[in-house]
Amino acid sequence: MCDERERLIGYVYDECDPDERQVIADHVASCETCQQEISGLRRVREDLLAWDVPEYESVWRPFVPPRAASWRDLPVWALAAAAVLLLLAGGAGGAVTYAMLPHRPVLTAAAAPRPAAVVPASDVVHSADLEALEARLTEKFQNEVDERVKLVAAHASAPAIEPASDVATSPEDLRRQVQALRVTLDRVSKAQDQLSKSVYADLMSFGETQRRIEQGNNYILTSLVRHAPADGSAGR
Amino acid sequence: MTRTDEELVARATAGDLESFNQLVARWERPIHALAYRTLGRDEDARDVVQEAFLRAYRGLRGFKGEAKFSSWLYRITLNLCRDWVRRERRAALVQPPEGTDAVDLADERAAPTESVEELVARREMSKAVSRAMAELPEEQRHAILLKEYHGLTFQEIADMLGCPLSTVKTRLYQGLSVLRRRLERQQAEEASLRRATWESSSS
Repeated sequence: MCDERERLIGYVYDECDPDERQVIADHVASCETCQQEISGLRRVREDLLAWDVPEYESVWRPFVPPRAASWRDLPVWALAAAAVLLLLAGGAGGAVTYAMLPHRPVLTAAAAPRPAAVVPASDVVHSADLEALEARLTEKFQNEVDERVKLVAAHASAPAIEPASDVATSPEDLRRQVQALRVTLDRVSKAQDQLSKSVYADLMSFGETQRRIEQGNNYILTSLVRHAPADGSAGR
Repeated sequence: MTRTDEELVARATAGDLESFNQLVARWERPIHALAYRTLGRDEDARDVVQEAFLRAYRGLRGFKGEAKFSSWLYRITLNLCRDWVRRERRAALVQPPEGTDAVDLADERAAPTESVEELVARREMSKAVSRAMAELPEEQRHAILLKEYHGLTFQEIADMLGCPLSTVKTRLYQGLSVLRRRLERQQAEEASLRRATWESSSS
């Protein structure tokens, strides 16, 4: 043992089989050198515990699953910039159109101040309305998908044959069972096909809804441009 | 419900990124500790953590589950550390922890009951261990790191380092014996220095 000190490592880490452990324990009990060796190894292991590592804060930037791009992904500054561009484009367009139109004589005396354009309250679309509409449509879409999935799953799981006879006792039985299995497989295949089409249609419809919401948003921006006060005080 | 590493690996391999994020959250601290104790510099250790997980993600399909996921990560980390040392063309640094301010020290106590003197002694020992470890041959240092700080079995270390089990035991024994001698010598030197200081101040 004193010549094979590596064996003490298994003993110190308590990672040797019971027989080996007993042999080493018996030896160590009567060998002062090995006793010192073992206590020295245990002491150095205690010293190793003192080795600290610095405080660690995660440096990992979690992976984010990809999703379809949407105007909602744009930062606020980009939306604001788009709105400003629209305003400028509208103003420039208006100025050019005005410059190209034949000008009527200016009526000064009779020109009473024209009332500002009044937009019927029902025509004004608020973003809150659009959000509520989106929530309603999303919920409806989700419910419809759930219903269809349930329907198709129930349809597909309906047994085609009675599992009365597990084992075919004749070629006739076997043929009948194979035929019934074919029918079941065919049904499952059709059900899967139906489910795929239905989900695809729903996705298309969801896309259409998103498109309409975006149209609504454009409508808000256009309304802002159209009804902006002529003195340029919009947004103050 | 807590998923096992194997379950998370299977899901991540199938494309579930969130499962991989969970694996990172579970293992980034041990990986950082291993890299720090190998390289000796926190900044480099953090870079290695990032690189190790990126490499693990890219190699996920090649991970066949023959070893534990953690062992596989440790191997990636040690390989990266080895590359880093070669690239930098210098030995791993031994960087003593900064700050000896009494207030800083008080904040770093392991337990409220630990006195400032005990903390100073622990930090001195931490530096001494770090220095002594940095001087060990790489294979002994790796065996000690994986055994002492990451609790791998002899067999796991042997599989990871690609050597027989008996070699792992030999490396551990030799490494610990060298550390023991160095630490005892350092402690003896410090004790004699303290004694000399005390004698000169009292005379």
